Amino acid sequence: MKNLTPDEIHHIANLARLRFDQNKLTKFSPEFQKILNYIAKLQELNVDKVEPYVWPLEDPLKLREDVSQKLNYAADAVKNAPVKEGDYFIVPRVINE
Amino acid sequence: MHNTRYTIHIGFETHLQLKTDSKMFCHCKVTFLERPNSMTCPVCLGMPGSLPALNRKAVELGVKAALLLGARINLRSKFDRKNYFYPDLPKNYQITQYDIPLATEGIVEIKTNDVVKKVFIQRIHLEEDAGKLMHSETQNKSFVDLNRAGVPLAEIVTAPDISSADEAMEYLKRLKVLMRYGDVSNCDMEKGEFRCDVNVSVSKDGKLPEHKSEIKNMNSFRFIKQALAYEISRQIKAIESGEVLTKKTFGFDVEKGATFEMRSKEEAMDYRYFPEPDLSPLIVETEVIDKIRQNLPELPDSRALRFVSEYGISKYQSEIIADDVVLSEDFEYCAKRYNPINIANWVINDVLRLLEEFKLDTSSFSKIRDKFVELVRMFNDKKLTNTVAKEFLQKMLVNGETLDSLLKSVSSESIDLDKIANEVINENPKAIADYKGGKTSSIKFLTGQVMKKAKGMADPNKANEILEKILKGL
Ligand SMILES: [Zn+2]
Repeated sequence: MKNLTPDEIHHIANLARLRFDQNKLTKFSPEFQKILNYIAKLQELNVDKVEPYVWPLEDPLKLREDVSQKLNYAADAVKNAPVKEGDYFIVPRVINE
Repeated sequence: MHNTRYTIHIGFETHLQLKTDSKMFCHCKVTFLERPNSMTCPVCLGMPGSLPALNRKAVELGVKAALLLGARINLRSKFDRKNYFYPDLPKNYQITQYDIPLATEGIVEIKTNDVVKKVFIQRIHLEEDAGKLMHSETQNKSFVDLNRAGVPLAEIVTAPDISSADEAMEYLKRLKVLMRYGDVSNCDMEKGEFRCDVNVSVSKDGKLPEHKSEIKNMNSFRFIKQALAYEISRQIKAIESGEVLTKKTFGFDVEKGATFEMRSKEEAMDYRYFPEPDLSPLIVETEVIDKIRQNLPELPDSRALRFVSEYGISKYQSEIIADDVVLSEDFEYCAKRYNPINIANWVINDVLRLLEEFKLDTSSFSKIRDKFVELVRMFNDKKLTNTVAKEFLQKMLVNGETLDSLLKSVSSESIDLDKIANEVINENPKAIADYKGGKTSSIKFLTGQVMKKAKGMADPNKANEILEKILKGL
């Protein structure tokens, strides 16, 4: 397993919306590396003849009939929102440009 | 323009809202313009502990879409999580299909200037929609409505096979026609039921280049055409001036008719897909596929051919009519009841013109189709003039007026019976002489003449009354 650079760790932390100060980063980097190395052990196995699987059991997915319900959930939906206005959740202004 | 020296590569990722009653993974109703956040539940709000349950109808519609595109269906596909943070995405991941989609390898045939071309469909997969954000103009806040979150979508991805804006339009039209025929989706672009990400790159050597512009979230054919024209000429200018183009994401500014670069968030492209642990693989039984295949609708091309042979209308007309599933059903309904050639002429020349002019859905024509037949019949029987018939059609189609009330209003208002009666009397001296000679039945003939002149728009009793009055005074 190659060693991760601090930049890569920052990038991954940023994707997960985690923030580290320098102290924590110094402490965390080797720990993170250790976890990766542990998982990387799996790569030592020869899986050439093993079908990839993503699900441990082979029971097929159960489908739900297309029947709708109107729960009128507006009040419940926003009940615990930190910031709300009327029926809306409110977040800091985000715009994709 | 130096277009001839350049090759254009266009590909589409189209998000189609599947026509289900409930959302993809929960029982919440799929609606439009409801009270914000009212059509939600713990599943589509992403509450901890809630679990997705896949909608059977969404799967079946996805299979139908794939069959309509001649695609190969994966009997075993799987769901994955696409991870990113955005306030319209309550779970912080979207459930989609990544490496094993529902279907692959389809074809859409398009025709531009009588040349047929096959656009390759790379994949068709199922996924859930996100919510809707509205941004405050004045304050630092955005409003989040999650009624759309979890609405079922099929994403249809083409290869970059399309080589002009015209071909692009043909592809989109064709896709929409097919999906509406199959009742897979209403494809109402204004309601966000048909949205496209458009990929375009221009190269000088004919090969697919490294660089690519992705224009996000387009929901109008007209804007897609404008955006493509703008982006193609921008890339050509860049190449001419030796600029190095890269992969970039753009939005389209409707006011300026120009694309604009979105903040390049290379990090956001890292979605860290992994298998959705809450859903086991999706198995589609071959019996289910066969059943859907057997129930596929007649497709626009065969319907157009059938209209030509069955109703004797022109190929040109029948192709236009067959392009819209609702219109073609209504045409057939009317053509079975009256002269198909006349019906086709009126549909092409007048109905379609009015629908276009007043931006109406073809379903507005469905509502008046019985009375439309009557109107065409009355016109052919010379009971209505061309001008009046056209005026009536517009009032019926656009203003929702009924043919009966229109006929009544005209017969009582705008027909000058006195004038017509006097004309008839002047033109028929023999009948007048007969009447005066005691042959009172000749008034029936005169009444008939008045009715003929009034083009059937007069009340015969009233005509008779007026004639008698005038004749007595002579
Ligand atoms: Zn829900």
